[in-house]
Amino acid sequence: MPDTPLDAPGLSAFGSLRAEDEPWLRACFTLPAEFERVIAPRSTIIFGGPGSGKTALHQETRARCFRADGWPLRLLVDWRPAPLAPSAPADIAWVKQQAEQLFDRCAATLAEMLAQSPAIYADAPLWAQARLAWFIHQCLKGDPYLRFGALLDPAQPGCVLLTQLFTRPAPTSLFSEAGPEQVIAELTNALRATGLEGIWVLSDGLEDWSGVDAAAYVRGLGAFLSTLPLFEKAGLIYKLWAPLTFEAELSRAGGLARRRVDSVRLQWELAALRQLVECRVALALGEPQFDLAQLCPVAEFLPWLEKAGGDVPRAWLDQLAPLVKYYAAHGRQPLDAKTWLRLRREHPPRIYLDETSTRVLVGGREIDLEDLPAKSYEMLRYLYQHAGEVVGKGELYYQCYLGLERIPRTAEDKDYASPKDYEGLIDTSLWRLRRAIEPDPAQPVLLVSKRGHGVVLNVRW
Amino acid sequence: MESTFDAATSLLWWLNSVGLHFDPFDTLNAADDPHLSEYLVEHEIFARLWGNDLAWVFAPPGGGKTALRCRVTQACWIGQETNRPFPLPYLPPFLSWGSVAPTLEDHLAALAQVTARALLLALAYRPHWTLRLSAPARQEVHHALVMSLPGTLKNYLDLCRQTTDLQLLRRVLDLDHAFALPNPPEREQLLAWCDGWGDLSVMAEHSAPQARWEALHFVLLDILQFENLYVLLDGLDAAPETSAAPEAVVDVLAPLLEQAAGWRQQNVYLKGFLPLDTQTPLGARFPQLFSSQQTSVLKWTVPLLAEVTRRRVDAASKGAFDSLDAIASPALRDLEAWLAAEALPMPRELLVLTRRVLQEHVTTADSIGLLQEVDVQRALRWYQAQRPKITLLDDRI
Repeated sequence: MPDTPLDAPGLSAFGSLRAEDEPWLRACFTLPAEFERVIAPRSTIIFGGPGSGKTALHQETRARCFRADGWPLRLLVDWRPAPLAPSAPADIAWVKQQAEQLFDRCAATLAEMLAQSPAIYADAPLWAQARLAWFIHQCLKGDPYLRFGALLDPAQPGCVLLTQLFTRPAPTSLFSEAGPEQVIAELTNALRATGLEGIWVLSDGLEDWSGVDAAAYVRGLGAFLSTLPLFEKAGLIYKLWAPLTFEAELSRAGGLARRRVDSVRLQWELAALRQLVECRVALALGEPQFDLAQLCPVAEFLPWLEKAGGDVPRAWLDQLAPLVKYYAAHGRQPLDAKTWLRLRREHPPRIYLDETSTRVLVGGREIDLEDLPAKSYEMLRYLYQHAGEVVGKGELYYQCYLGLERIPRTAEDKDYASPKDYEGLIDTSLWRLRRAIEPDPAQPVLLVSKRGHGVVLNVRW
Repeated sequence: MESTFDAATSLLWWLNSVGLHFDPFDTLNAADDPHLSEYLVEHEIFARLWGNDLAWVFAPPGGGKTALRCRVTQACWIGQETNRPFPLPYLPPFLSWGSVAPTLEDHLAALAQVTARALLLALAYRPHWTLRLSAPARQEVHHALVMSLPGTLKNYLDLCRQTTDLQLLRRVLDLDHAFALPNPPEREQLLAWCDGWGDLSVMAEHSAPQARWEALHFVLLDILQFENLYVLLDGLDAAPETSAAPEAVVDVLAPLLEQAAGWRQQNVYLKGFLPLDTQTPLGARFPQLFSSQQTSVLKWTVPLLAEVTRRRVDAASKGAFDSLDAIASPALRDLEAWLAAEALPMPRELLVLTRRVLQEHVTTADSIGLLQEVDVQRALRWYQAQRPKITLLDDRI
């Protein structure tokens, strides 16, 4: 159902920064550049990285499937393909199983919708009523009384209708030999006769299952997308939100390569990102609008934010969170340079290093490792493994440059070198590292020197 | 009905403002395109497809195979009589089978079902074909239909009677737009046809696929007097296995191809609209069926592709103009040829690129007015970044 007006969230607008915890999100939702393609009436897969706003976009898409008065514009089905077993073939037999599960989900959603809005059924022509009843009978698995017990409460508006649908035999629309294509055709046409615009299948959280075996999951999803009859039926539209890591593999799947499924990569331009965060700050502060210059008029502030936030909305919001809280708590006075520096040192951008894929993310920016010598990357990896600990330059030299397991302590130890022989080398590597990962290398907040002791990598988990 | 499609709305608003009455680049699947007949480009290959023989057309995805199949179907519907071939659009139902290793029985069962669906719709569009039959002949038709339809005949006739909407019947029967026959009947004729079937409670006994297919063959050629049946094979790459491996397509088709010579004697002609990469393996396994006289590769030149755009603009503007230049800034000249040269040489790719130009235009803040070069440049950048990695055999395309 659509969102209802909610109280302003206040500073909790900068709380979890997860769309699923933000019921007020529509009040400050900003459209990404490709939004029109996302909600176009054709099947679409939307790729986005972590924090890029996939869930927010999913919620906005969902909200647009209802009229302002809450009346559904189409049958909205939440469903996602199940994980494929790692050794199982991603073949048409598996896709057929998924289609059966999808039909079950459609039948369950249809029953729920009719229970809440029985007039949809009552106002439909007889032939459409017969087909909807048949579809529920035919495709709903399990005991409906167990699945829909709450909706069969006499206090529910559709209790009588639902009871009738579950108890009375439905006339046969299709024989058991009929294919899924005909089932879809019967259902979508009956729905259209009720005034709905067919079916939208929404699939979000695909990455939640990718942990099972990401490669197998993507293989299964690719097989599903390659099965064109599921994507060529008028009135049946899929909207899938998938992590960016799936993009390369899925782009080769039949449906995408053959343009039966549209593909959108969720990207944010600078102006849209700025608008997005300004809308949220305004909402948090209860102001009609807000300009980031009000928060911190320091000239370096916006360039720094662009670098730390990259093109990821969540990273921008994450960087702004402590500043907005400070601003709200201190009479809404603009932050000066000194306060801003202190706050960003206390709250540096999150750094994430994935050793498997050799990727480094800082805030919303992926670090280009092409510019980083291999030894500097090794140093970063070592510091990441010892995040929060002060690591001496000698330790970095012996561990990362020489690959020694044991650090020589005295001139008599094997491989011992005088600090003056390696400190220049380590300082140069640290300088390169800072230049690569710090939003402002002149004022580091991630890789911080501890004079006389070494360096520490500040990692917020 | 309230609609929330801002995208479609803003694009349609702009198209209307410049004189286009619908979006002629919206539908990428030819079988779904209600306007296809208005702007089909006459491709030379059509002449090679039409006629009483086997014929095979090869093209990559988006290369125009389905549009050509629709063109053949439409050519079958010329006139009000049965003196033309009867078209059977056969897309192997992989999803129903749950496999890509069908037997001849599987094919015949599927073929009988699509024949029954196509026949029922054709009879509804041409009530006189049924109403002029003798009672025993009509009984034969009734029997053949109920043996192979996916649902009860009564259900379909009730739908027809309640709505008198043959487009709805077509959609419920899961047939594409090419089966919307020209000159539909008057309401009274249609209702008379619905009532002309006698006792509908008679159920068909279960029969083998071969018997069902033969019953329909008899009805079409002997009772209704069609000259031939054209079995139009398409959608062979619609399963995960067949989209990736041309050999799998050969295995799927093998049981049917083994019947091809015998069927030719019975005036049943296979005409395939097949993925380009299946040409070699099919030719190697069935050399006698895939001779050079029987096979063609669908090729598109820049002028022909530009014509695809012009026909669409002409149809959408109801003949007012036939070039994108009419809705573009004077600085842009021969825009359809430019886009045709930039897209992969396939109609679907050209449609995708052309539509992107329009989308870029309407999503710009000051979108009122004519297409600008910047819209084209932005669309080209987008297209280059994400165009499909389809292997084209340059010597063929």
